[in-house]
Amino acid sequence: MRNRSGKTKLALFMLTAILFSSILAPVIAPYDPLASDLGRALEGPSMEHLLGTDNIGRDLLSRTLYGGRQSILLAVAATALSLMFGFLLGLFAGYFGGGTDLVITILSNIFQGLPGLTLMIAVAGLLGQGVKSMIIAIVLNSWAGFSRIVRGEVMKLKEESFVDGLKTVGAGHLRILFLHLAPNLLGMVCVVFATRVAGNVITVASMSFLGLGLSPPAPDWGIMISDARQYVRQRPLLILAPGLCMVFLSLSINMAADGLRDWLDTREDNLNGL
Amino acid sequence: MTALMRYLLKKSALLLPVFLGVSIMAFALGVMSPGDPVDQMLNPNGNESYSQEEYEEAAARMGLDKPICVQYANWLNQLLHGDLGRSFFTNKSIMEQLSRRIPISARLAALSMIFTILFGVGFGVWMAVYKDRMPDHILSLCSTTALSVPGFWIAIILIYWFAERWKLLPTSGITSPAGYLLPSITLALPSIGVCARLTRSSILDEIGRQYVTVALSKGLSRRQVVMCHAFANALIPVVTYLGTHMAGILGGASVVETVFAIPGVGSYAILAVQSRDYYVVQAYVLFSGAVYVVVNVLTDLFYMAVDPRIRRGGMFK
Repeated sequence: MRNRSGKTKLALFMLTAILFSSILAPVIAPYDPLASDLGRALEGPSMEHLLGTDNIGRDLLSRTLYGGRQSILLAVAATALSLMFGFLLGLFAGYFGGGTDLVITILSNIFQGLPGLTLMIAVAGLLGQGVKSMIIAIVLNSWAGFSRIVRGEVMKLKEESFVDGLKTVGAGHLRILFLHLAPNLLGMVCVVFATRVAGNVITVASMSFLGLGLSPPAPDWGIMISDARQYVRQRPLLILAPGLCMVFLSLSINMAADGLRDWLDTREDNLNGL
Repeated sequence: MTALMRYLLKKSALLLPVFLGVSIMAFALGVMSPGDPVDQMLNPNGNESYSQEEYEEAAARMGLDKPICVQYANWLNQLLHGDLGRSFFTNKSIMEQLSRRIPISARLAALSMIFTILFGVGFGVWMAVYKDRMPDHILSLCSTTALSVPGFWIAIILIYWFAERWKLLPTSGITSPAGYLLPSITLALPSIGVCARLTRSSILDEIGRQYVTVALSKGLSRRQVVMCHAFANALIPVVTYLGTHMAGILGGASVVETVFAIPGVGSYAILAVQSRDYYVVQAYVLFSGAVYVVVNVLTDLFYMAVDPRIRRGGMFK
């Protein structure tokens, strides 16, 4: 148990460090992430450029610091949006059952029937590359997962006696749903949200890498890796720095989510023991 | 037998709308795509002129003057005859292209599946046996890391070390069977992580059950109980995951296929998107949906083969 919570603390520390350095990038980055100096291209680490420079002489450290800003923001915003849709639909499907449930379940099966990137690629193909199509694609892609989980939980919860009690005292459906059932789902939803954000940061980076997401010269981890592919032989750091940032970000989110899940479980056990 | 039939009917009743839904989405993609196919047909170079009558005649010939529902029905009918249309740009039959690319993606999927089962399930069992001890801690960190690594990044790193520096494996392409090795490892890595975690938690769930307590009280060791009793029962969610993983690679290994220059289904879709070849994207979406449905049916058949509870219809009482 102690080991687990130690891991969670480490994860939260890593996560905070990455988020803060991304937020504070304009303050702490030594150079402009877009300013190139062709005379100093592909330099190794030095006192002036702590991580060296890329193929057109941009400072790698500054670009790495800036690199997560857009994709993290995009992933969080799009995941939050899909959480909103998925949560509402799942809530209704689980609570009302019957026809509502059938329609929503079939819809969510359709969207889960397409593997993650298929839908993203199709939407990017239709609407063209860019932030808008990525947000739409992520929402289309992620809402079904949320709705499915929320539906399952609500179906379990609505059998509990407190719901019968609320109905007896005359509480309306919406009141029961939003004031009494929804808060019970909060912890679980946080866990799913976190893992989904971690996945979507990688998805956004993959799309940018393929040239279907954010567009160069924006300092973005996916684009940086795509740019540096040819130069991996001379300067492996160009690939390693943005990649490791992504791994640490995603790892720390996943570990924090694990910790949260464990904590929720133990809390549930304690309540059951009472 | 009746329980079995009922089960199959129930399953197909859920899967049919999924396939129809995916097909509607694929069709809508073609309809919503920018550009007018009639114009593109009559005026491929952008400098020829045509009269209104010519336009209407061509539209009628292509069936595009009919209401959208009729167009959809026609399209579906064509599909059922194995005709996915032709690419806007290369004018090659999409069906032919796909049938050449599917076996390549299938081989990739099969190989990465083998890695996932071997290591994913293997590590999961190991972690469950040594719960809260050293192997569990180390492996659970490894599997969480594995599922956090972006595929395209690890692909570049693997190519650099294994192919360029140590010259052990080919950098890209599939001229030799060894060419499948790095891409399938790349694809397997995150799924090994997911699979190991899933196997672990699924076995630990089973361990809480009464039959395990009985087996333990009869004096079997923890390892024997996990291997012989809990393991088989714990496999159900793992097999579900493996099914979606398989479907995902068959239809969606676009990133890895692109990095390794493998002419599979996924890289075909990326090429199509880059050249705005909507019919190909359409066919790709449809293909992914079809794979999902087929894999789902196969997973269910597998459950029925291994799990007497499902075979006898007990799950639905």
